[in-house]
Amino acid sequence: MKRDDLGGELLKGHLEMLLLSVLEYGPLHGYAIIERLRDRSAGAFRLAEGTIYPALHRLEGAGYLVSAWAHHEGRRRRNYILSAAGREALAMRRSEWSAFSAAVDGVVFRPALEGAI
Amino acid sequence: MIDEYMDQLAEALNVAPRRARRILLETEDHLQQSVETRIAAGLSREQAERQAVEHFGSARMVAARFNGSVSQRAWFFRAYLYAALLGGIVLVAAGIAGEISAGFGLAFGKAYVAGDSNGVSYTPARCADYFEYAPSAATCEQAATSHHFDEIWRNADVALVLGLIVLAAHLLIRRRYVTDEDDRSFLRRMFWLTGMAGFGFVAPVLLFLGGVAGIGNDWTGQVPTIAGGLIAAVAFLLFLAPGVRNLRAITHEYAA
Repeated sequence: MKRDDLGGELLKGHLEMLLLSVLEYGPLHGYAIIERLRDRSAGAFRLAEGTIYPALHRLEGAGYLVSAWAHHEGRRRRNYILSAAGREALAMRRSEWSAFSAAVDGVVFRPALEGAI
Repeated sequence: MIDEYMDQLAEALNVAPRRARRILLETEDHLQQSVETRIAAGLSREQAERQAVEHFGSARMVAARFNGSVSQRAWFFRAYLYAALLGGIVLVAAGIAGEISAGFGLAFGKAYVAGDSNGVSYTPARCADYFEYAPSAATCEQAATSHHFDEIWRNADVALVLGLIVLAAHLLIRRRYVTDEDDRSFLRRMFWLTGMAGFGFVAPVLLFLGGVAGIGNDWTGQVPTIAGGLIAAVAFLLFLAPGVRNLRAITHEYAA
């Protein structure tokens, strides 16, 4: 796997947390969400763009997002907004991720550190 | 190329019409935006459209993600909730009909509620059982009527309480677990449509059966059937307007 292409399986399990994070600072439509994901990951997160919509719909169904149509240059566009429940879920997932990644780091990098001592 | 992709996606989607329309609108907006961005970056329209479609993912894959969001398990869950809801309503309706019958019986005579039709007779052993249950009864027929009346009343109590418990459990489960727009829409529509159709069928049947049997038999024992028919008729009237509204919405969606 190339370092600059973190799509597919690796991303799948964390997509919902990433979407909630991207929407934390204001409403965005699907295309803008993709761009924000790409920008914030310095281009590392590349996934089939169509796959974010089922995830957005799922998050909306769970009450973490609300959405509304807006008109933009003659086209209808669906904007997604993080709900209060979504903010709570994001905080919880961040905390879980933080604990998980710290634990993984502890296991994955410990041998290298111990070897260096 | 975008039109072709949209056709493929529309064909591959297997979701409620309203949801399909939303998915198609969002997808088309996304693809158009993607094409415009690529054209602004210097690509030809053809190249831009091809890249936009490639980056979006195949129509079959995207549709599968949407279609798969309502799993088989979720469908069973919906069916279970829906059956519980209808079951609860039927139990409550039967319970109310029974309670009304019991009230009528207490006011005007138990025979109207639990009396036997002409020609029904009991063995001495059976009569002894009934007399044991209703020692103050003057005749075997009265003792049997008293026994049957209490049975109807008790069953009505059980049906009413059980129905209310089922409905309360349904509401709790639905609030906690049914969050998807499609699930709510499905349950709501099935609820109003089946209620309208079910009570609309049951009400005239019960009223007809009770009426025919009652006219030739001095209304003996026919009050529960008539009360059931009347309750079903009231329920039908309550279900009628929302049922018709939902039926129109479904017809409109599928015709669109």
